[in-house]
Amino acid sequence: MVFNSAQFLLFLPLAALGYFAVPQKARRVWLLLACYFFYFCWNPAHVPVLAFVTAVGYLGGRLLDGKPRKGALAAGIVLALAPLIGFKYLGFLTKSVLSVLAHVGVQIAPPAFDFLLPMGISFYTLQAVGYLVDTYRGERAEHDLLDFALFISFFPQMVSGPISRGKSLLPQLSAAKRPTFDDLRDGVLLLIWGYFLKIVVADRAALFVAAVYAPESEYEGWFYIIATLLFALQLYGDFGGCSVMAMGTAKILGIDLIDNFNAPYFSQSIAEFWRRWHISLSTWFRDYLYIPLGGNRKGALRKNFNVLVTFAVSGLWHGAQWNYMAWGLLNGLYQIIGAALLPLRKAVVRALHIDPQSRLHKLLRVVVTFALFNSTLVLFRAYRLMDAVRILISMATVHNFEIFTDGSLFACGIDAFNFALLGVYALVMLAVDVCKYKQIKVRSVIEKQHWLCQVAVVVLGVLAVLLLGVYGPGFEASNFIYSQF
Amino acid sequence: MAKKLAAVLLCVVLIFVGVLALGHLTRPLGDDVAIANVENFHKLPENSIDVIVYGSSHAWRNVNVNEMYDKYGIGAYNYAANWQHLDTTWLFVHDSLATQTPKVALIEGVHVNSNEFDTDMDGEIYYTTPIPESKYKREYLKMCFENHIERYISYYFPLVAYHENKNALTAESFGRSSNSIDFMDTMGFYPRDGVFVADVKDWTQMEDWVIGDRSLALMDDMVAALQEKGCQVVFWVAPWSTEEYQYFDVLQQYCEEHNCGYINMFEHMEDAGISAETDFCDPHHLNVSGATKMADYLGAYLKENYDLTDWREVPSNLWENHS
Repeated sequence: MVFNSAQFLLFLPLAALGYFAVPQKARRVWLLLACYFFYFCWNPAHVPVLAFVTAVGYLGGRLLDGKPRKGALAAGIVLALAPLIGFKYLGFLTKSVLSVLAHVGVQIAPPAFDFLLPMGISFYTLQAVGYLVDTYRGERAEHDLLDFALFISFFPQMVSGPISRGKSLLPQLSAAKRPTFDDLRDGVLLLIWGYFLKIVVADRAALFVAAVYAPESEYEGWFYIIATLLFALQLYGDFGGCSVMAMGTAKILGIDLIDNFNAPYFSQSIAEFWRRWHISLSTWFRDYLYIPLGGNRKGALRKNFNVLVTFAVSGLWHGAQWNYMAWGLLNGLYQIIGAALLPLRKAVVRALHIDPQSRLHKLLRVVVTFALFNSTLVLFRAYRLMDAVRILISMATVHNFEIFTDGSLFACGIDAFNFALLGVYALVMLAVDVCKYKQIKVRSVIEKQHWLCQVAVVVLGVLAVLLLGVYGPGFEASNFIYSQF
Repeated sequence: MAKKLAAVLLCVVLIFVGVLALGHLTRPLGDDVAIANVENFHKLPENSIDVIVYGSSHAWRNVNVNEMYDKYGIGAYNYAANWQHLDTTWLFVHDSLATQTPKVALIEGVHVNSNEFDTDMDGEIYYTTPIPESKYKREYLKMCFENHIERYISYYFPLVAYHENKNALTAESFGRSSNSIDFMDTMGFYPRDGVFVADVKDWTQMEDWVIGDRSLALMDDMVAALQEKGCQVVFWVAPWSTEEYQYFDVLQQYCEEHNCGYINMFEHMEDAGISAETDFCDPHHLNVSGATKMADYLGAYLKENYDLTDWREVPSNLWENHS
């Protein structure tokens, strides 16, 4: 059951109505049942994994509460991460080791690891680990097992996060306050926007991207450049949409989740980009990996090393493949080079008498940052590292400009009309992100309007998504990209 | 509080109305013709039809049932539609028996071994939407959808069906005008003019195949349901000029074993006066001239073999004013 399934559209109103209607004392029990039902619907066999991580987090937290024991922390982290490693990385690690052995002449047939990855495992295990570290660092452990179980299994963040912190989510779950009308309105508006991003923008762009990036595809040059640009749109629409839907779903239940994105494509450097993109993961890696490694406290060389390690692990978190690791490393490298070149760039700006605060200068930085991030996406989207290398070479060497005039561009999953539609949708996304960048809250503006106007916004929003979206049984339903991580 | 409740209710109502309205605007018009025929069939007075023609376009376009009335006084209706696989014909048969008690059922057999449940909302499944709910329709939809909730939503909400279709449909699917045929006048027959010189193969040289278990089960059920109502069943095969047909022998054998009539119109083309040069409108279907000759031949067969009312002697009958 994912956000864009018919089952979820049935499940959410029932879960929310029950949460609203049951007495305060029973609310958390109802929510926990809903969370486990949600997880059960995905795959009943994975429910014990969720329960195991919950048990490890809860018992570990109790052990660490007020007593910072390194052994208990280490054991807790290892146990919490064990299912993630087992399901996600065991096959990759075994294959990598066997590959190295094969190079030295030891041939061993690889065992089959064809487990289905439990939904949300990459998110809730990190959430449990973060909780253990926070408790070790002195935060109060949660004593109520019900609250803790809700914290780990809270269904809105099961599909693709965000990765919440105990101190922000646990008190809200514990309070189990009855949702208000404002919560409902906010949640519905967030859901509409999330669905727009996902099924109107991302899934339409996905048709082209999937066609061009298909494993046996024979596309070249500009096809890949356009597909990679559209993949940036798809990824943001997909993951951003999923995060907004998670926020909206939680809001309907009266609970606030962290906003995972803050106009990332307006970033003026790669470092800033990662402060605006997948914020809950970036801050998780900052707090629980980069800083424990020493952060920037042990000299420039060590800092750069820490940045690379953090990005490499972040890359591997996205997927147990070398291309994801390369993607992470490339992002880290961009960040290091960006920092290293900062004095030089400043000197050039001064020498050319460019106002660093001018719009043109900022725009240039935004464009360069976007182009750099976009170049990393080839590694992210390609099926294997070698495919990514081939695609990058093709992008640099094949100049098939004729695709813009001979119609072949419009024969790869989306036609000219749908390309034009995508352009319009991208502008809508851009406009909303401009508001976000300028800290204008669109929802607050809507909330100040007459109630009939608010009704019109909701109705037109829902109908627009239903009319313009890409969905239905005839489509290969594009699952959320981040739900596979 | 009342205002908030009103806002929620208003949203729900407006969204529902909007979904229906947008669904109507975006529905594939290619199905309108078949839908119109199904709707027209349900406007007929109960137990008013003696002979019903079932099947795919090979039945729908090939039998001008008014000719049966003009020549033999037979009160027939052509309750067929395009692209129909056997499972959909099965639904049409059961649907028709809810309001009619025909004396003879003419089931065209081009898809006699084809029961692939429709997976395309632009296809036959969509035009079954006007068929009233019944246990047969529920069973049919269950067979087709295999309990996939999205497919049910798609079926009942045209706006979703539009999205399901969008991949396969072309601009033509939406550009076609709505139905312009008066099916009460043609009594279900879907006429088409034009001439196509067809290359009808020698049926005696065609390879013999067998009919699968699933198709046999559907045929058994249809035949049993019709015979239980006292209806005689005739399977027949219309001629066409593309793929070869491999079920002549096995269908004939089935009809003998189940006390059904059997007419192979490949064999009787000459007797019926159907010309491959002048009576086809495309490789698959007869034109109006061919469909009239076909109805003439089938009508003569029915008149000779079954005790049917001569409706020409019944005043104010359904057929007398046809154009």
